[in-house]
Amino acid sequence: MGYELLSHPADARFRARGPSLDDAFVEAVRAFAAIAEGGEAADSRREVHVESEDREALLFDFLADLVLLQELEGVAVVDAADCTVSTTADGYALDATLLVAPIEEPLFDVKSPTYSEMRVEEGDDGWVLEATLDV
Amino acid sequence: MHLTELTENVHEIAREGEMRVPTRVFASEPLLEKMREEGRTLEQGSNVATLPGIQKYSVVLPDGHLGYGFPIGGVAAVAMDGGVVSPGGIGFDINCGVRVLRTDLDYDDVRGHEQALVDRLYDLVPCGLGRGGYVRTDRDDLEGILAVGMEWMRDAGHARQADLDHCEESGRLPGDPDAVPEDAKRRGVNQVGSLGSGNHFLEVQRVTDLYDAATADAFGLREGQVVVMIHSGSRGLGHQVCQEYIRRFERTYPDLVDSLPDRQLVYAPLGDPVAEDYLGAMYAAANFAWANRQAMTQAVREAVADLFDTDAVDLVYDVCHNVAKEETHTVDGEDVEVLVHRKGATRAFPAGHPDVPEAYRDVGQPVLLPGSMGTHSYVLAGGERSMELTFGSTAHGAGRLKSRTQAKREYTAGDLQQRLRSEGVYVKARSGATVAEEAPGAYKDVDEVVRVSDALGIGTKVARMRPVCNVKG
Repeated sequence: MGYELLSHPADARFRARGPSLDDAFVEAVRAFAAIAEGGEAADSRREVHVESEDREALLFDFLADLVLLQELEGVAVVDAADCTVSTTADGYALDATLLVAPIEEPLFDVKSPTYSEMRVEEGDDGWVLEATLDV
Repeated sequence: MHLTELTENVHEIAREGEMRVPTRVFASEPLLEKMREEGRTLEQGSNVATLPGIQKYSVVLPDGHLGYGFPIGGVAAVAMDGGVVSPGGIGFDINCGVRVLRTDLDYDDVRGHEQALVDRLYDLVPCGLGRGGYVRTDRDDLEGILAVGMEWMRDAGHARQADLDHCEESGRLPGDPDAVPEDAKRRGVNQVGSLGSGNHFLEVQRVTDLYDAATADAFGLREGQVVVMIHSGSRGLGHQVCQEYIRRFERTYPDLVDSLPDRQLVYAPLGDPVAEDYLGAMYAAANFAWANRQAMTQAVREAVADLFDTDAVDLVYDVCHNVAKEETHTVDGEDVEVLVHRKGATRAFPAGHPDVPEAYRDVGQPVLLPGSMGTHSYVLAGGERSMELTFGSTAHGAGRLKSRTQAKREYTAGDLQQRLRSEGVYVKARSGATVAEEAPGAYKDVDEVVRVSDALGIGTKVARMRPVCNVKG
């Protein structure tokens, strides 16, 4: 189903679609990688686990983890091999396997997710995620 | 949403629904039109008016545009007694701000050396993500910076006492390093003296116009002089502080989230432990931002000394435009202690105010307004009416007109760089995409923003500058 980079007056915004919520999160990773202008040749994997109280918070916390991964490990997020969303007693959990590459040229600095006009919605064609990243 | 014009450049959205106070919009008709085109800027201003403890009115300044929760160009003063703090009212990039350095060089001294200068600055000041910072710091250093900001920089040999004397709050707010989340510290430890990306820049400029010779003289500015403007903030550290405290507030007050017009407006009552922790962490991040801009100042000093054999690079002033501070303002004839949230807004205290540095107390606080890389930037002075109209605040810059994606569709880096070069502006950026995204045409008309600020008497024109060299992240 894919992703689109949307217009935003100051920052970066994307829409990710998938037949399942898992697939939509995979597309969200690809959108994030496109915004950060990371490399294309992944050479390693990272596992990410996030737990949050609702789906919007799950997307916020997951994007926050992608930002942290890039900054603290010095790698560029390139793609996701797999994302699995499950329910927990307190909300939702997300387990993801990310494909990452060394940072060769400085990345575009994605600094934080925001809740601004965030969407996590199920429609007739599957799931749609929308988020704005502070850049 | 109905706007009533009260006087020229002053409009009001009356209280309705959950609003506790009205919204005042300080803008001319052309600027208002752009706010309306964006869709939600004015609505965001009115959402801010729902905050508990907000005083007088929610303020939207002439450069107001769409933000997160708060509009950018928004001001809210909430009572220290019974009010709240909202991280969205300060922004992710805590103490994002601007400083201007004056040199003893004239434009003629720099002409012919622009390429060498922009190359040297680009080499010295890391841009984007992944190149570290100009000043190497370890965890102990970082703790010191978070606690005392510019004082640590001075004691470590990275600042002159005069730098502190010409900085808002002398470059130190009461930061609490223990309240700064661990991941924020990890993000910040190697970023002291780094520009970042987006709209942040380091720009060599020449003073082209003086509007108020006496105040310009007090600021040490003269026509033809070369100055340097730095626009950056607290980098990843500040963003991590904001992001983690938004989540902490949400978890502390789960019922509040559902009642808010915008989740990004989440707040905590002043005096609650989580609010006090946030204030300590936010002030610490503000200290980090001052250290960051100071470190880049040292890089500029190195470049200028190498190429022009002078150490006369002095700080005119350094302003925050994303911060909240405790101040006293007059509301309904009474002095009230308030926490003034300024989101994309510059403090603009007038002559005589005790918080204006001694050097400028007779003329008012310098206000630094960047334009885009092909247009003017301005130095203003805090205006006499700022205390009465805008809680001592004015605009912070031009504000974007076109999205980054639209700018990339409409402009190409090569054409832009060639055109700017023909106008005497040398640009060096991390990527061609950055140049296109930051094209002058992607920004609003800063001249109109300044005209309205001046006409309102909240920030009055002192000097105008044109770019010479621009380094972009």
